[in-house]
Amino acid sequence: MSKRETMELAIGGEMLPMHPLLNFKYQGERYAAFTPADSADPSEEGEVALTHVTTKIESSNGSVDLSAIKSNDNLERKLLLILSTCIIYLVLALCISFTTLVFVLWPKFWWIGMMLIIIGVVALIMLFPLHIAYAQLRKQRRLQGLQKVTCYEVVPCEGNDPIFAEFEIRYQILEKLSKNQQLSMLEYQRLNFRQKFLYKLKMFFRGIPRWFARKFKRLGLRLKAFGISIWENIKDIGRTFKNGSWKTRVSYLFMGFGNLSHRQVLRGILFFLFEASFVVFMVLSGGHWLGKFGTLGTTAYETVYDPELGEATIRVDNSFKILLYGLLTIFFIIAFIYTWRLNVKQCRILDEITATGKRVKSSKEDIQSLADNEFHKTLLSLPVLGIVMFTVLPIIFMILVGFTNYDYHYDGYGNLFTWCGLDNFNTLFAFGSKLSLAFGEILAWTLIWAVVATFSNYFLGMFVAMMINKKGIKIKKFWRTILVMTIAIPQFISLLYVSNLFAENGIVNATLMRWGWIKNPIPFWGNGTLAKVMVLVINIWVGIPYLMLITTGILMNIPADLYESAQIDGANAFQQFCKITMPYMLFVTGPYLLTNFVSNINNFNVIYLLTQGGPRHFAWGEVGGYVAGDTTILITWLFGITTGSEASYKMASVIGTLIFLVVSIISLIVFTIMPSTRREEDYA
Amino acid sequence: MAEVVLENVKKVYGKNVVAVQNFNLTIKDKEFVVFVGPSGCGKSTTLRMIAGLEDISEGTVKIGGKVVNDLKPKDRDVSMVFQNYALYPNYTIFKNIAFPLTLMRVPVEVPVTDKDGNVTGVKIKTRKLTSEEIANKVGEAAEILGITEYLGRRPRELSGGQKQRVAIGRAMVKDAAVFLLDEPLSNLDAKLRAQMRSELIELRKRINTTFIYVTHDQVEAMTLADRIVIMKDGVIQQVGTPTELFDMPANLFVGEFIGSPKMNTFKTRLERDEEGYFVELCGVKKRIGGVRGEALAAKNIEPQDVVMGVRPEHITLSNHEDKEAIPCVIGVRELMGSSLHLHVKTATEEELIVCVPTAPFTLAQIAKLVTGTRIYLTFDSKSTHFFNEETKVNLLVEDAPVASSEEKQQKQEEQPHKKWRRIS
Amino acid sequence: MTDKMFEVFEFYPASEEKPQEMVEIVTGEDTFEISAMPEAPIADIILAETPEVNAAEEKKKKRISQRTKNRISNTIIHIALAVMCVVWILPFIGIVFESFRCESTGVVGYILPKHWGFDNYVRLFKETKFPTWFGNTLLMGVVTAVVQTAFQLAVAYVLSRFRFKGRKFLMNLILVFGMFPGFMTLILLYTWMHDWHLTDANAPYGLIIIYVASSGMGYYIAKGFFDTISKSLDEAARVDGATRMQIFFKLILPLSKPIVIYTVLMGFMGPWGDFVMASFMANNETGGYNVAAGLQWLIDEPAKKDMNYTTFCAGGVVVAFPITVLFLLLQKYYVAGVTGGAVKG
Repeated sequence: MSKRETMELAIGGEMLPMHPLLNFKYQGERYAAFTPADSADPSEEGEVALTHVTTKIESSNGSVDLSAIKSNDNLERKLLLILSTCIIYLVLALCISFTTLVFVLWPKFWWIGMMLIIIGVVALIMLFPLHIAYAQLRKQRRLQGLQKVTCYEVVPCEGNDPIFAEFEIRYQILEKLSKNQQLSMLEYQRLNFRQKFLYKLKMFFRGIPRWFARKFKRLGLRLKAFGISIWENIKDIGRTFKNGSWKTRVSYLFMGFGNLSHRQVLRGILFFLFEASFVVFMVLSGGHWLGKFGTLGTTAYETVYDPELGEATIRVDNSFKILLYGLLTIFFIIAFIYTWRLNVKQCRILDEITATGKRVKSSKEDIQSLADNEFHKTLLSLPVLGIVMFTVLPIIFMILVGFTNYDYHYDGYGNLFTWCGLDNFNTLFAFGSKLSLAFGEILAWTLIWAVVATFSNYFLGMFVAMMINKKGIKIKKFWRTILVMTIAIPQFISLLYVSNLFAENGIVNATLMRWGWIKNPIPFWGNGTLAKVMVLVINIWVGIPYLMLITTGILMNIPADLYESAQIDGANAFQQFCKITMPYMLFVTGPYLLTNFVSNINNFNVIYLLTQGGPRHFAWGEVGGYVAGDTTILITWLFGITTGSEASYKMASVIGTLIFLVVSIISLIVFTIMPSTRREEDYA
Repeated sequence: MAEVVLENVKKVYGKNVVAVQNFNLTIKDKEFVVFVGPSGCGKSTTLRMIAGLEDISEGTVKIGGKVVNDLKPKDRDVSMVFQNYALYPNYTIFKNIAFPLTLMRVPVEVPVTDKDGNVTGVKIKTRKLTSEEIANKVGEAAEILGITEYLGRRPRELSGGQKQRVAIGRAMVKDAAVFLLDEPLSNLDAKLRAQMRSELIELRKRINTTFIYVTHDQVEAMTLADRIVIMKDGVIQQVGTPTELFDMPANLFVGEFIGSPKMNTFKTRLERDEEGYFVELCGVKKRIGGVRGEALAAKNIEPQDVVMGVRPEHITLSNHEDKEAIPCVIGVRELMGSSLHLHVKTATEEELIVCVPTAPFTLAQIAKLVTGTRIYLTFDSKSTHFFNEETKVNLLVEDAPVASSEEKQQKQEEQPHKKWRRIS
Repeated sequence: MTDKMFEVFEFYPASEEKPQEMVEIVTGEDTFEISAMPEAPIADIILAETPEVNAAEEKKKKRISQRTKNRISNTIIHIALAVMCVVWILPFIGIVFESFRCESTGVVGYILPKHWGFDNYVRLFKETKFPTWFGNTLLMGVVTAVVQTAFQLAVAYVLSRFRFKGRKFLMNLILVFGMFPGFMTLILLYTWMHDWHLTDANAPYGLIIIYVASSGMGYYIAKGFFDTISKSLDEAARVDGATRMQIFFKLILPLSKPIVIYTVLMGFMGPWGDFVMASFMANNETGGYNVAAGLQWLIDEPAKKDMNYTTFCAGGVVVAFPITVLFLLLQKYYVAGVTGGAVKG
């Protein structure tokens, strides 16, 4: 007899699934029930609530004694427990926040305090869904006059052995709490604009805590899954050792032995070579680098006695090399652990295969599969190696440099550099210092620049594309070709020329003065605001052809009958643009807009070639021998600091890391908001 | 009054590609007219000219007595359902249906007052619809079409039939005078098409406005239409009710287009002797008597080379005693359930299709009708149609259109128009 | 056809049916009642004479105004486009003029040269190291084009077609590390190349390694393109017995000609415009510059600018010309790459 069949709920003869608050045990098994809409949140729908429970249990030999029924107020207690935990959490968060406020008195760490306060606020918001759920629950029960929810645990009496049981539970269906619930679609559409707006606002704020809770829950679940997978791996290693043959156990020490003993020559040799090279490396240099990693070198020079040259000073420690090779060693160790784990897993698989008597893959088959099933490994090997060696490693290295004091002076060669924790970040963020002022302004200008550049190019490019695409325009190809040609010419030529065009003794000024329009040359690059405007305008000149290309392709793909239908419905050209063209374009080019925005944040060429960072603000002080200016964006600053007269690599790293943080946060936010990631098939 | 009148409408693309010509038609108010014809015959072009999506090269189109040649589509008081639904993908279904309503303006009377505050007259201004009115209208339309629960979804989440309903709903809410449909059921599968056809008939009863429907499927035309306009190569072949088209096709093209399976045609010669008309058919002399014979005599049709058409449904099985029966051999048989389609070959190597209903026969008899069986066919003379061999025009129709356009123009120049006046 | 060969089926109907009257056609002079077709050319209603004269004139007026409105707006757009094209091309015309100017070598305030001549070009080729730079860049362009294409297509194909453990991880890794600015790693790469003696005069070789090593990260456009090729093509080939390697080289690549050419073009054009890394790697050893770094070096100080500005312009023309020609020839592929791959995301 299946569990579900015996649970029949009769409400006026109608069968309904049961309420989530109801669970009971039957024959030692716990039963739970679910709401009709499959939603885990009972407060979302106005639905049934428990009022009166009658249980009638029949068996082949009479009824069961109902006195055996106990009730436990599990759920109520659970909620109270959760609530109290949250209150403790809240108090904790508040305490931390207050403590950090104290720290604010020491400006050095004010920004840590800010972060912790934010965390506290977030934790606070996280509590809302639980609070709301509990409040709604209480309200529901108050409305019905119920004071508590009862759960029934049915325990059959002795002697009776129910062959089947029939539970009849009556529900009283709650009236829809329409005031607090969501409006139906038609009701919502009946409201006028102002009412709609207020309703949407209310729904938005009600939805925030739920949104946060969901995100954090997902994050938590993923972390948990990650932890579990690591734990599973460890267990598997242990298990393989325990259950494996002697060959497997030897493989733990000599990698590749297992493969060799099963006649997988190629794999075995590769594993063994890897292990050998690792051991050799660790013994020879790895240990040395790791040892010094913590301090990044202590002694720079040492005097030794060389028989030929007499006394000579040689260099001993090189912080740069220590950092670099130490990092490499760490990478190597991680790779080794991974390969070793792979080795163990393969041994286990080989054992299993031989246990069942099947054949193992020979080396020849391995090589052949490299061209077939494992072709992806073949194709990816070189590129991924290149990426790891020339991008991943250097970037991690540079991030680490941000925590040292590596600069022109402490170059790790003559003068060693060492870890200095968050000092660099503090210098940058120090409240009220010149540097943080400069940083703030540069950051603001970077964001403004990225936004204006991206969107001005986008809309103007689209506008030009629509102009060219319009019916009745001749020689479309010619216009497009001319504009596209300007993409071909390298930027450093055109931009340098343009920057000289507008120089004080350049053509524009000279011509304007010759015509008598102005008396003195306009300081296009000398005045801060003017320089910013010029940079944006010239960026439009650079970017429109590219955008025009992209939007043309999409514009031609919008189905024509959408426009025709709108024409018949009465839309004029402007309305058609707003309601059909724009939504379609924004949807399809959403991801592209994001990448364009990100690349504008990192758009070095335009600004550097035009202004080298703009009219300098000497008041901002110099960093790394470079003085930032009005049109400097973060990347220009980075470049200047790296190549300046007194290059300050540590600050460069800090700024680079910050650029990354800004870009990744913006990308994350936009990515989750953007509909195109969710609703791809709308426009397929 | 939502009467649509097309006079001498012609559409030319470029310099010399004529898509539609000599299109004259009057569609009465609340009539359901279907434009039908093979691909490329100009039916969609005509519809789009009525809607305003194509320019009219020559001629006039009047809707409700008003000439609309130069009016924009939104001013013509028409609404249209497209073949590919044309639903706005980023809007919910509610917004899709409400879209025309959000752009609509309704007149409102504003009293005009003079200096003393007395009301001297009314001025008519226009206002937009309120959200309440829009929601009400959309709700009504959704109820009629049965899509109320989809109002919050987006087009991509709906199936083809539901999307079609939404498209119809969007056209409905405008309460336009003329309802244009451009092959709306072409993208649906066969079963759904049949279902939507019946729903359209129901809908028509509820909306009760002028419908102009374009299709290439003659079954849809026959079931839905009050009147059918058959077109070929941009020229109207015949206008009439489904019965008229079925019983009295104006030319060979119409005869072959309407009816499934296709009409059987014989190239033969209509002869007359002292008893009346007869034709020599497949080695058999068949006398044309009855109504047909009288009609032919009344018009004093001369003996000439004709194409004679007989529909497969009108051919019946006979026996060897019938002197006018045509002997033939069954080639292929298709059992359609309620009827049997037999592809037969006569002694004179002509191939015919015969539709035999299975009801009158016993199973044993049906089992005998297989490939290779010889049968005798006969048909009543009242189900014959005669078309002139050259012009392919039905002999019994005066001034009927020819199947090709050049000859038609010649004919027009030769004969003066006869104006017909309708009784009632 | 004899009776003996085929069976005969004869049907004797149960009852005779009387012929029915289907259509009555009574023709008369003015009136007729017909349930059959009216004549097609003319509708079956006598149309009253409508005052069509005035209506026709009004129609004409309306038609004129609609069409002229259209024509006016089209003319305006044409003019706007022409102006736009002129504005866009103007700087290049300016550069060309500058390159032919012989009367001075600094920045001046007028466009048209007073004395025309090829002096700047001569100076470019004789006095500066331009030929070296050009050779360097050409070498870098060709090698980068080949290797970068190989890497990018490989990565794009794998990520498009294969689903393996770690695919998401790889894509996220590339995404995340792509968000870091490229200049961060300059100092480290310089040190490395320096240790391998690939800087200063040998900078081009070092640059090649740097360009191609991480080129796999730019797989997006190619991947977008590969995604549009139906997977059933692969499956059909597998059923026919091809290995994945054969499918890639024999089937997919020939189909992807536009994107291959696009990638090659991008790879080739890259080194011509990069002046940051080039100048950094060459570290003031001008023999190792590429054209971008070299030309920029000519005018990086005001004093030098006064001397070399026109030479710089001449160099710009020499560099821009073949690139533009190449671009125009391969324009079709560039457009295909941009519109096809860039937007699918």
